[in-house]
Amino acid sequence: MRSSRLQEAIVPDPTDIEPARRQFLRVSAAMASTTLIPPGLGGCSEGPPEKSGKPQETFVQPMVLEARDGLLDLTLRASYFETRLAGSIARKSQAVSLRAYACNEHGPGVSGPTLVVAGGDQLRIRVVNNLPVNPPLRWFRDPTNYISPNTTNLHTHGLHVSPNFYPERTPPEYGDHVVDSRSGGIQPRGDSRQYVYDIPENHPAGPFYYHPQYHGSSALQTGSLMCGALMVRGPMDRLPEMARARELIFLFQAPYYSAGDSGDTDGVKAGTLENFAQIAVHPTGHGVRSAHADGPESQPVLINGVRHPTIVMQTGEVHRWRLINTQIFNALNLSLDDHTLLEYTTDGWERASWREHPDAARRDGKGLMLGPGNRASVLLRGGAPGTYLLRSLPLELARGRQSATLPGQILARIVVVEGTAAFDLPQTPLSVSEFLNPITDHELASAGGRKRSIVFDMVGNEAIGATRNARSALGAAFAQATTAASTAKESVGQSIAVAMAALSRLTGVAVGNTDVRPPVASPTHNYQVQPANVIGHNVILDAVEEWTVFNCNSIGHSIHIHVNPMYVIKVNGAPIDPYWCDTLSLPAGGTPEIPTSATIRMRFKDFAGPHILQSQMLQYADLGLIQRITVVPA
Amino acid sequence: MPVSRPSRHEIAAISAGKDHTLARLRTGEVLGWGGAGSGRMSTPDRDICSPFRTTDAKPVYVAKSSRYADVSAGYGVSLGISDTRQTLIWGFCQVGLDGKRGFTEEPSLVDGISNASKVVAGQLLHAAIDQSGDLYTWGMSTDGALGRTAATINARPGVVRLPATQAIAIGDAFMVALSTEGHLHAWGSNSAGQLGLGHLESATSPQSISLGSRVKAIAAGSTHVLALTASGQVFGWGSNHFGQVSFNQRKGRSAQAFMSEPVPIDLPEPTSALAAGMHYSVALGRSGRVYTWGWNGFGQLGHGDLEARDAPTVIRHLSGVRAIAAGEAHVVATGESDLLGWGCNESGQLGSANPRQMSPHALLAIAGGDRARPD
Repeated sequence: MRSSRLQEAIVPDPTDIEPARRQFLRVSAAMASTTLIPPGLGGCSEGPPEKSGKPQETFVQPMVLEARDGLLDLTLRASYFETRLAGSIARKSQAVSLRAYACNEHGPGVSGPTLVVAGGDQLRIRVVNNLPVNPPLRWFRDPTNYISPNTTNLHTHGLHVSPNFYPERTPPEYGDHVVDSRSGGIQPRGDSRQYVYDIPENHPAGPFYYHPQYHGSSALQTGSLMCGALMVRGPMDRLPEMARARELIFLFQAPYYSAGDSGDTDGVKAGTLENFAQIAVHPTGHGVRSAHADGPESQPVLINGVRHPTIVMQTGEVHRWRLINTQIFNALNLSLDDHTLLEYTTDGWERASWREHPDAARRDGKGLMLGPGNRASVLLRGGAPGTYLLRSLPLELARGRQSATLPGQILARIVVVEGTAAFDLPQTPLSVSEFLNPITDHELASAGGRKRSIVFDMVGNEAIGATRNARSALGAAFAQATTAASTAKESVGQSIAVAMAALSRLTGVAVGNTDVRPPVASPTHNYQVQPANVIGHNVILDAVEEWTVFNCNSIGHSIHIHVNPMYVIKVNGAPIDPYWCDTLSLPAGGTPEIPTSATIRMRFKDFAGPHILQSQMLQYADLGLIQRITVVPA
Repeated sequence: MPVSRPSRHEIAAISAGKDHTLARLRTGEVLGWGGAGSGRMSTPDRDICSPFRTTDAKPVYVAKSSRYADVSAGYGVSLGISDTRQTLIWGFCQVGLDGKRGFTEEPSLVDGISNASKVVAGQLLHAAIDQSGDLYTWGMSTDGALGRTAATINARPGVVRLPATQAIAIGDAFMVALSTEGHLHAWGSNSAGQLGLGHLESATSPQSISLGSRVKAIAAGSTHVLALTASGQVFGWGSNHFGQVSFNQRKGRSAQAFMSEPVPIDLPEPTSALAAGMHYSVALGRSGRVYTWGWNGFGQLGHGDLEARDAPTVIRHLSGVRAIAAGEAHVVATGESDLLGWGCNESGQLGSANPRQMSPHALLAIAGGDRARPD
């Protein structure tokens, strides 16, 4: 390897990357595989070339658990996992101790198992929280010691399932229920909860994932190792061409932890993530440096725990890749050298026709964009023999009053070898579930026609740092809030009013969405700042609504709405070719005067109950960029 | 701060928003109940995902030092007109104006409107009428909701080209204006035919709606509109999937989920006032009785149940009502000796009532009414 800063080379010579050295436990891509990534192999896949010169596949995938006879029942245990992970330098790993999932009788892994269900199945997950007791809550909700990092819950991201809680069952059971109270959730040191998800018969087939969504802890836990893939199977998977294509599930993760070698330990032990400021001060992470001296850094991305895995395929062979971006802040801008990715699900939602993504590194740089929480399914056909890189190209993160470009990085190496097998692509248009029928003007009119405006506006906490060495605006706001908090805390003995004045003066509206808590539960001060969740939404069951989501910030915010997918019809007020998704990146470059926007339609069918809309940039969600939606009975 | 005075308040006007209630007293002071915009800060340590927004059932004075000529409760915010005819805004002003963003219950000035006499607050969409009848609109310009072009999407106040206006009603990204001559214009979103134009196309400039007679009052729900003619006849149009316009089998009109043209609504007596919320309608009869119909998910029809009604239905045991106002899912009314409310109370907008208050509940003891006395 030429240097430790591989990522700076946007189009490196493929020969620059050396083939695998270690004999990885080869894991078949067949869904029957139940092999866990062995602990300790979550490291690099690079080293000196093999003597034989034969390409060695190093793509591994987590244990797969598939429903049988309509049921998949498992236990996930949250605990710390001591392992080694590759960092920005792929061949160099670091010891880490991060929150992770263990499944059934197995030990913890770099991700939870891949769960496979189909329409009509029931998925039962018992979550046991074996994390240690929460650190003491400071008087203030101090972002450096944030709320309850060891209290958890579970969210099935994107699934169209009930968000309800069933207290009448013994033991009580939960659907995709994340509206836990501050004293609720699954408590550390052995508390457990039974989740149950009844997958609707007509649920579209596609990739989803699961992660914690306990408010205040979601970024810290998901940004560790607490996530896993969740695949819904359906008729599309049974098309002969699909079934024959080799399926690889990519769980893109970029765990955050203090780097031992940089001297920047964030005040915690190396290899740990214990301090909210670690993910807030540099929300895009450390390690992958920008090509620009003042650009933000990025977090090195692992695929199923491995950095830069090698995938081997034959010329003419068709693969289908299921791509799941579990990162808590960063997007991926995917491009495969000299190959075209044919996208047939956007998130987990089927498409009738491909969205084609040719090699963007040689074109406009606009690859297959996966924001945090986004997924996609693609087909691709192996080209001429050779080595090709799967990259995330540089991506504009913020524009306007602040501007920032997320650096690109190499994600995987694809080695195409000679082959003679003939593979066909499925015929388009593909047949999609009627669940995804377009939402017409007439349907909207007939089901109430409500329109709502949702505003994404982080005031003061706006965007991310434009310079590598300076603390981000988000971080600065934290520092400010922390200062305000300690100032006010010291003042409390004298006068709450003085403390509140100090808070107001220091923060003004600058921490408008952060819900900085005053030192007593109910101050008499009349005019504090308010968090975003002072507004909630009651939607009537069976309603069809159109929402415009405004982005008032330079950064391209990401919105995720639970339970029901969104049918995107407009961007910045202009009609687009509509599509379904459940996590949507808003255009960057908004201001309070001229916000960017996306307009979506939703059907609130099937499930009454409480759920949320949130920023999928989970640091923002934990800070208050979250609103409750309650679907109420008609 | 809490209201502690035991004396009976004299109420000049009432307004109900998404989840708060305002009552303007004859003194010009304003009392608020419920969520953002009420003058009360939400409890700061409230659970972020809780459906319940406040635990304090008592009203507070909105910026007590001020005297208001008019107030309007909107979607997490309120608008008011001060005694010096300035337009003020408070509550959860997420986007603000001119780069000023506000998240406080302290009223701040909306620049650019002089001598305002009426204000109406909607969902990131607002309007004011000045003393000469000019209509100002501001807020988020989606679907042509401002009725005019604007340099920015989050637009500052500007005048809409219209005949002199006496009243304005705001729904989801649309507005309906009533001229001093009794004519109607509408513009903005037409998602359920609420512009009354016979189609579903949005309109970016005011479009005339003809009812064939002079109109004296209007009300807009989320996506439906009610109008009262000088003769006391009520018309409705827009969304009707809960019968909020009304189903009228007698006249051979089949059940339609939306009505893109005005249709007459039968009421048992002449109507004196109208109000509308999320898919439900309220009419005040000249007798002082109240009629409600449409969606009833929070008991906002006041009939003691949660059943929708597709025709105006009188609220039993309620009479002597002088004024009505409808929020998203709650109704307030000035009765003979109490300010009354029913429907959704998740944010405390009905004081100590139930979360789903299905029949009238007294919020505040008020002075006896003199119906002949103007405001």
